[in-house]
Amino acid sequence: MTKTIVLFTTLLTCLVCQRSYAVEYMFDKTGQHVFITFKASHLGFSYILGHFKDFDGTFSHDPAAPENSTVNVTIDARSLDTDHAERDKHLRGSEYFDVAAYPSVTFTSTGYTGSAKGGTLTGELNLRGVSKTVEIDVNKIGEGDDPWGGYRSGFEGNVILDAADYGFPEWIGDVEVYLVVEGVRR
Amino acid sequence: MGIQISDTTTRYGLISTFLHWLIAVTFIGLFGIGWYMVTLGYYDSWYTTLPHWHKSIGMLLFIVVLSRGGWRLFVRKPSRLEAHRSWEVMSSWIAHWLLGIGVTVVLVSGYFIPTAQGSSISVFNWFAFPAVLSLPDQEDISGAVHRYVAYFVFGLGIAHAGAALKHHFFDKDDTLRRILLVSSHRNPS
Repeated sequence: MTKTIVLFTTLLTCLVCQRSYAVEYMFDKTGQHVFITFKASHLGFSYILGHFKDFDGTFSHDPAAPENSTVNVTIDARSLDTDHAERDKHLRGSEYFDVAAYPSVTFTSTGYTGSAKGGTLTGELNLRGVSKTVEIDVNKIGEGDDPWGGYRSGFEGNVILDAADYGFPEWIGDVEVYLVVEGVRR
Repeated sequence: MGIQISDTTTRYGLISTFLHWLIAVTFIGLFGIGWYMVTLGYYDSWYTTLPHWHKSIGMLLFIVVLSRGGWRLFVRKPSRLEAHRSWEVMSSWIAHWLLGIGVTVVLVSGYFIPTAQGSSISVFNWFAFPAVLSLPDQEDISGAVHRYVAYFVFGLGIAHAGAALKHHFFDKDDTLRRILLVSSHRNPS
C-alpha cells in the first residue's frame, strides 16, 4: 500500500514537474511579433519577396531539455501578400496555392536536435495538400521577462523548399522561407 | 435627307450610332483578349503585353461608356416602331438597360482588380488611372464579378444581336436600319 502511494506520488510529481518545465508559449499575434516570409527567384534576375499576414501557433520550449521542444503552426493560405494584387490573385489560384481547395498550410513538429541556442526542428509540413517532412534550422534569439509583466522567448528559422515537391510549377524552383516567431508564455 | 448628328423620332443619329458600334466592337475585342490572355503561361512573350492592352483599352472604353451615358441623358431615343409589339418593347427595354449596366459593371470590376493594393492602371503608358479603393480580398471578388458579368453581357449581346437580325430578316422592319445610318423605309412590296 505504502509502495503504491509512493509510486503514485512520484508519478504525479513527475507529471507536474514535466509540465512545469516544458513551458508553453503562444505566438504573439496581437502584438504582431511573428513573421513568415518567403523568397523565390524571378526569372533569375532578382527575387520576389512575400509573407503571410494571418497565421497562428504555439510552441513549447524548455532550455534545460531542448529536445522536448514542440511547434504547431497554422497559416491561412489566403493571407499571402507580395505587394502586388494581380500576382497575389494568381498565387491564390489553382496553379499555385489553390487556396479554394487548400485553405491552410500547417506545420507540426516531430522532433528537435540541438541545444537551447539552436538546432534543427523536424516536422510535417502540409502545403497544398502535400505532407512532407522538413527540417528547419532554428536559432534562438532571446528569452526572458518583457517590460510589461510577461515572459517571452523568440526564435528565427530557415528552410529551403522545392516548390515542385508541393505541386507548384517546376520553374519556380527553390523557395527560401524565413520566419521569426516571438512567443508569450501562457 | 442627310445624316443627322443627333437622334430623331424615327432613327439614331451619327453620335448614337458611332457610340453603339464602337462600344459593341470594343467589348467583343476585349472579351476575346481577356479570354485568351488568362491562358498564357508565365514565359509567353505576350504574358505582359496582352493584359496591358486589355486594361488600357478597357479604361478608354470606360470613358466612352460614360460619355454615352451622358449623351443618353440629354437626347431622346427614337420612339418605338409601329411594328413593335408591346412584349418586344418591354423586353428590349430590359435588355438595353441590362447591357448598359452590365458593361459598366464589367469595366468597373476590371478596374478594381489591379488597383486592389494601390497600383494604378496605365493606359498605353500615356496616362494612368490611380487606385481609389483597397478592400480585403478586393482582387478576388472583383475578378469573379468581372468574369461572370462579362459572360452574362456577352450572352445578352448575342440575344440582342439575334433580336435585331430577327427584326431585319423576319419582321422586315427598320429596327436594325435605324442604327446603321442607312436609308430607312423599305419598299412595302
